[in-house]
Amino acid sequence: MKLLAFLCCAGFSLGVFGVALSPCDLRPDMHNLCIYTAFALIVPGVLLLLLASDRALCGWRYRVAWAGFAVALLLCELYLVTLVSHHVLPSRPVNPLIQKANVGVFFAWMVADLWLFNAFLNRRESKLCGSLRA
Amino acid sequence: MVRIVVAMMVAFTAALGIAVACYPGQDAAAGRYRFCYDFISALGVTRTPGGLDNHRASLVFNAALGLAMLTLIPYWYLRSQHVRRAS
Repeated sequence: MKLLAFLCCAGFSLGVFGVALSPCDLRPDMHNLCIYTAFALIVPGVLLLLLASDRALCGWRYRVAWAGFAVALLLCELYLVTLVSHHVLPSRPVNPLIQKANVGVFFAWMVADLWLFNAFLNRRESKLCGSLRA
Repeated sequence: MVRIVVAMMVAFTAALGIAVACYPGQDAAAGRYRFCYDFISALGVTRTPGGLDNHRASLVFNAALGLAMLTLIPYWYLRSQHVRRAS
């Protein structure tokens, strides 16, 4: 499980690194491949980090809230993309806004995860110091 | 490690702002980065669809994105160590 979570998230990072190396005007096929790979990997990666983390890191309400939000967001995006593909909605501004929503949500999740992880590490360190003093 | 990732996120946000400011727009008529109409990766193109030179925004955006993603890999490793084993 640990290895799978790491591979998904590291694969995402390498995918986006590939996006930076292949601007869409120079290597459009490579650019799109990297984007789709990164997106396909980060969804299970984040869900694994979220749902299978140590219980001391975050509570079940936090996990369920993020997971529920992620599923609702993906379903909304699927619906919007379907409407775009049937020419009910224009691809612009719908697709660029979907992309920004995804990046914004990922950024917000990163901030929350870093906050919780830092607090978890601090608690563990202070517990360790306390037991060493005793 | 957490501090490094936070610093990277702040630096990436600043670089994104610089790239947006340098972006000349999809074409001469647009004239600037349009939040609702341009993809984020438009900032990384060397030349816009309208033929405008975008090397400055491209350099800033692609360098910041690449560095940010490489910085995240050690964090993913540390973070994944706190995932429970499947039972």
